[in-house]
Amino acid sequence: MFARLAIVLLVAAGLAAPAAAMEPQDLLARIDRNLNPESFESLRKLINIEPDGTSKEFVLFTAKKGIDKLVGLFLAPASDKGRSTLRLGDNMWLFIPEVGKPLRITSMQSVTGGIFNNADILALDYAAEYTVEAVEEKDKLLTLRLKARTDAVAYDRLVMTVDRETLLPVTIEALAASGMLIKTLRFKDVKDFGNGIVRPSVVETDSPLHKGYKSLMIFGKIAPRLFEDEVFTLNFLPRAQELR
Amino acid sequence: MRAPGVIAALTAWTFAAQAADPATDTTFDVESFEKKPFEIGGYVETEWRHFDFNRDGALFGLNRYPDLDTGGNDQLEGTLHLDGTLRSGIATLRASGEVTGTWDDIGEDTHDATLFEGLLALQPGPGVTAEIGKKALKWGKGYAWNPVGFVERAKDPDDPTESREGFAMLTGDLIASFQGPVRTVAFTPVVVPVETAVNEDFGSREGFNYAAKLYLLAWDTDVDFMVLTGASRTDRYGVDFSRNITSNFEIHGEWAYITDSARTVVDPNGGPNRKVTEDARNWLLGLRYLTERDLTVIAEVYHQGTGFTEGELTAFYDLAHEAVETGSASLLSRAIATRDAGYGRPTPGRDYLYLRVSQKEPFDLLHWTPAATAIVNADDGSFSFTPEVEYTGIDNLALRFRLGYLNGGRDEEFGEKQNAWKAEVRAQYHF
Repeated sequence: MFARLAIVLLVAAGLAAPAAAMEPQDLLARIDRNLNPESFESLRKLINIEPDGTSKEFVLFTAKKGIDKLVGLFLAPASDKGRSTLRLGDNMWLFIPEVGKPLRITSMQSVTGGIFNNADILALDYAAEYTVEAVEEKDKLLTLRLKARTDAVAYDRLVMTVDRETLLPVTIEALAASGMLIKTLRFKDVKDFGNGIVRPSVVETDSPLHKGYKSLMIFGKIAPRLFEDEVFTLNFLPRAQELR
Repeated sequence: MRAPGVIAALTAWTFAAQAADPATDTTFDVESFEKKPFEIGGYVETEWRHFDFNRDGALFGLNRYPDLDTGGNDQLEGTLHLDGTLRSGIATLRASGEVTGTWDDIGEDTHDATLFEGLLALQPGPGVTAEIGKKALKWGKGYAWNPVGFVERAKDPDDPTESREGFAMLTGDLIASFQGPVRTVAFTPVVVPVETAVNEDFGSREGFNYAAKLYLLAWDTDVDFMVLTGASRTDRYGVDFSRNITSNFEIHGEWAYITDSARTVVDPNGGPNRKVTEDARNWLLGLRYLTERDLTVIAEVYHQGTGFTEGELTAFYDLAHEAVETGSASLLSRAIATRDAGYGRPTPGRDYLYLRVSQKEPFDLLHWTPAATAIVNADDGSFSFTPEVEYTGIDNLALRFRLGYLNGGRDEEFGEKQNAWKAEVRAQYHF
């Protein structure tokens, strides 16, 4: 009883600890947990908006477990329905029903087109892919400078601006190894998804490499859920529809 | 959730943060995407094709004899493709098929119905699945060819993503996941029966055939080991791999060993067709590379030990030319028999190169993806070249325009094909 109480108090103390007092890597892990539970299911809408104003929408069911296992299943549009994607660490595959077998894809490709690439759509925890090189504090914002752990990570560096109070991202700038800005992610419209998950429901991105284009990721549902490890395998991928 | 103060801060931050573009509708009706026990979808497709005949080609003469004056052909094809799924508990019933009608200028109009797949799957848990019925198994990592595709119909490298009909089989999956360098192990056993009206085109002898695939994800590399044995096809063994080298560069390969591979070859000295039986090795090496400007390159090298040597191909082309030129019934019969026994299939030779380059939305041309594909017979240097462009700017509609140009001389594979060039326009609407 006392041990349990002590754990509760310690956890509460940890939650209340000011961001500045946290180890940088712990701070990044906290930001990850504020965005979503470690294992969860979600429903997202991806919208690619072209310079002429036309748009294309995708609806994606996602199952994630642990720090580096993730399955995505397209529910719309009809032309993409049934396509599924798997990510295990740096490995990514795409299953297209007409092709009938999973094909390896890379993080810089995009299964939907638009500004989001596969690394964005099948994003893992930031702490799993990046180390924190520096944390700067200014006004009500923290700026985290992140460096990719390996060459296999899509962006060499991230500059993450975080609200100091809520520890939720406001913007993320994704940079190539050369320092060139590849894209900017903007986190908007905080929403209570239930189960203690309160986070931005819209992620908007644009890129200086694709002027006039914009992509949105709209979260409709995020809920904690524990999946079996075998779900995150190539052999299961053609049956990903059974996860819903 | 955390302290109320944090909630208050979140709310304040929400309003302080830049609001989403009001012009963009960010509403999301989650309920409309709930899983349903019965789902059906598919596409309707119409395709117009024009073929300009290669009147010097051996296969033109053989296929068209005695009507050798026709310069070309126009075809119109309409297809309705349906996919359906019915779920109840651990059972899933799945079917996929299409009906096709073809209207042809020079041949007979045809109407076909094909069941690609129709099977019952039982899945008591994600690690165990049993399936019975018709299934299109697709093994291997290659894009244009799959030397280790032991229990499937051959892929057409000219259109490798086209749907293919499966075989009736009993199969399943046993999957285990681990921590550490070997992350996944999966075993796929397969039983393929061959008897009257069941899988008759799998092999000539009736009986049961047994295949298995062992898959490993080890050290970030996909590796498969395959085997096939049984009554209808000779024993064969295979291995494949695929691996991402960097975030935009993938490599893959396949190797297969086929025991007692038999092919019917033409005797260059005019003797009767003869059967050559020998162990053969087929292999493929390939890569997929994506540049920063969304240019995708797929390149593959393919060696087909079960294919015909350059000399064997030459002997066939010479026989076909002689048969057509003389009109000899016996020569025509021999030539047609060997064409149907293997010479007439796509890429019947020994060594090939495949290159496909596609560019997403070049010059800010929204929704347009041009691509070009070359298939080269590395032994004789002849090739096919297929430029194409796809437009996907209308929801669920894909439009594709392709040209196919074949280049080669006498006794060279692509110089002896039926067509000199072709044009295709395809519209595919998904629902």
